Amino acid sequence: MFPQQTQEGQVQSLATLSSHTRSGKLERNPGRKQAVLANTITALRRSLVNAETSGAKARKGFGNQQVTDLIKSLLQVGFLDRDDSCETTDV
Amino acid sequence: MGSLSALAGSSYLSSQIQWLVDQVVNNRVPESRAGCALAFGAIYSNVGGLAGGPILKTIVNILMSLATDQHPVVHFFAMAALAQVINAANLSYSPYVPNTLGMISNIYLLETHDPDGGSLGSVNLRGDLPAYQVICRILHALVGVLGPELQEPGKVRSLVFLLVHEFGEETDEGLAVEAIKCVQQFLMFAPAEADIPKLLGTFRMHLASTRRPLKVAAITALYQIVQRDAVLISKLGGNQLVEDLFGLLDDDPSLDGVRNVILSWLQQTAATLPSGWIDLCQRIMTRTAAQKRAAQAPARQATSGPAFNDDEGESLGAETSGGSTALSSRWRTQLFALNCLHSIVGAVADSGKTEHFNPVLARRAGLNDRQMLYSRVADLIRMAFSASAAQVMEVRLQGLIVLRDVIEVSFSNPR
Repeated sequence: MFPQQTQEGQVQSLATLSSHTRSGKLERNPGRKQAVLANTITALRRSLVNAETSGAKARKGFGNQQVTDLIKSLLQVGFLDRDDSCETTDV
Repeated sequence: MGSLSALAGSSYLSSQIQWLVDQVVNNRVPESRAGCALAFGAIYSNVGGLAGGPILKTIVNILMSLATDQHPVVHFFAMAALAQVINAANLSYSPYVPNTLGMISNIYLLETHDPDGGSLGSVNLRGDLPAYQVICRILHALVGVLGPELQEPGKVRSLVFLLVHEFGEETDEGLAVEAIKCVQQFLMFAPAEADIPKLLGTFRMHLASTRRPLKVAAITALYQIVQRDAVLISKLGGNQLVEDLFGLLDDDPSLDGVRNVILSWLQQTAATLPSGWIDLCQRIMTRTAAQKRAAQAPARQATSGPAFNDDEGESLGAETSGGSTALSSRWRTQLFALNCLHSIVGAVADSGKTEHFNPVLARRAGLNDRQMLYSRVADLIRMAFSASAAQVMEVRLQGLIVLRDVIEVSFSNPR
């Protein structure tokens, strides 16, 4: 569904995901933090794969600077995580 | 990251690459460095050669530098990413081929990349992440880039020959599989430079391996050689190789590659030597029945002696289930042998060689009667009739198909 949303919707969703992954409550619970990160990265990955096959409109959405910056920051958080599964999905 | 790089613009691509480069320089954590290497490979293969042209040099330099890292996680994934980049770049990678060949030759000699070398602390990691196999994959990709240039003499060609030969001599089974794939690629572009008799001997040895991936790789390579020159394989391998292949099929009917090898070989040579192939199929069919009787004889001898009160064996029906398994694998071999007979008759009929159906023409040409198809019609009919009385439906049907083939060719060639 993500590639079919409007630009504002996409930005808002990504901002929400970003705030959840950076939430202070997750610092006390590393297992939950890993789960949140893994789910976020998996969701992004599936969205990107869908966008590649969905058509020009969906691909155009990912060309927006704001959207790509937000996704980039989320991917980089997952990248620097020591967990192998997050890194492999991230790539 | 790879998908996003393909969808977003070039400014995202360059900023992402820059970030990854900074991570490689500043972050000393092995998993992060390995992740960066994988990211480079994924980005380039998703973005493609055209858009990735400006970043190829940066990526190659960084991956080659990470490939020499002592930590197994880093060097394994760096080399895996490099293989991915070479496959994606293909001809664009040509300027970097000599350096890459030099690098993998040096790495092959390094103790840190040796499965038995390096520090004790990373022994388990090196076992899970075999560096030599991924080096072989890089070589495979490089051979694909070089292509027909391998036929031109030079240092690059000599180094490629040497590495392919060295990897072919390795005893590790995983590496042997990768080496066979390299050899296949090599055979495609420089077949004249390959020692086919020696390769055939190696592949025959691997056919007897208990490791399925090695067996399958050897069968695939054999198929490639048979496709190129079936007559040469007939001279080098002969009937024994065909019987070995049928034996493989008997042990494991799921090896479809074996069927492809035999059928391809047959289709190229049956028109010239139908009698030889019919003899082989006859031996396979009679061997199948004889093997069953031989397998049942020791079982009967065992039961005629003092019987063990093996309640477990009796309740599980081990003997009867073993018997039915032996029967089921062998009926498939019979079925395939009958399929081969069908192909033989078809190949001879399509070849247009009327001497196979006309004794007068054959004698006039001075050909041996025994080699001609018309002299084997009785054997074909005998095999088809015995198959049409088999217990398995598919074998009966195939027997009838062979019978129909014999009738059709006889009808179209009344002599």
